[in-house]
Amino acid sequence: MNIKRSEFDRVVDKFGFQTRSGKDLHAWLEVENVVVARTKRSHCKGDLPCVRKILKQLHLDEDQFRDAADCTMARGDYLSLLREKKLIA
Amino acid sequence: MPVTMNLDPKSVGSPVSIDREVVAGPTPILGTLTEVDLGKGDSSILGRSFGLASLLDGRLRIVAPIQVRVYEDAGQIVAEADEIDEFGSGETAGEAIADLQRLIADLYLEFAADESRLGPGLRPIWDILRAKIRKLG
Repeated sequence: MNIKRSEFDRVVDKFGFQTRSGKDLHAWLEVENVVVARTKRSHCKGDLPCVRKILKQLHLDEDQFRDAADCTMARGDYLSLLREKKLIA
Repeated sequence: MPVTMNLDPKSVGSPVSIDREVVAGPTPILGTLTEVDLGKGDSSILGRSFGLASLLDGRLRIVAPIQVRVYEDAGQIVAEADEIDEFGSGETAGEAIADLQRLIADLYLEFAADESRLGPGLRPIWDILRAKIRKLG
């Protein structure tokens, strides 16, 4: 699976991740003042490296990320998924 | 073959000097490798796993090696520490490992500061970092 920077940015923005740009773009999700997920992407051009790790950090599989990037998975769906995985109390 | 690598912060780049502990079977063999080119084409580094034994932060010391695998992906060299869900990247293996060293140090310090706010998905990572890294002073 390949992920482009724009897809990564669209997904973390839609899910409400906060971001900080440095050598990489760092993104983290806080729910009720608890940090529940963190990930990052490089600023390199083209497809992002380490997609498997990014998916794991987002707690998504390939199909779920594609749904998120294609706008069929909303923030509420994502939070429900994290609750199912007991990553949110 | 597991290898313990000490990257000298002053020599990050290509070529760099590293010390390494080579483990062959049950008997560790200590040796020193100098002037090793960690450049993109260095086949002795790519595709192999190492025990990372130092960070680019004088405040922190690794007390138990962090396993790192170096490989090429999407045109970048990646240094991945699977046990803590972290990876660094760069144009060369040296850059990728140095990137990972910085990221691990940042991650340790961020998690230490935010320990009470870490969710259940991040606490296991903090447990590993806390077990393998000591803050000096």
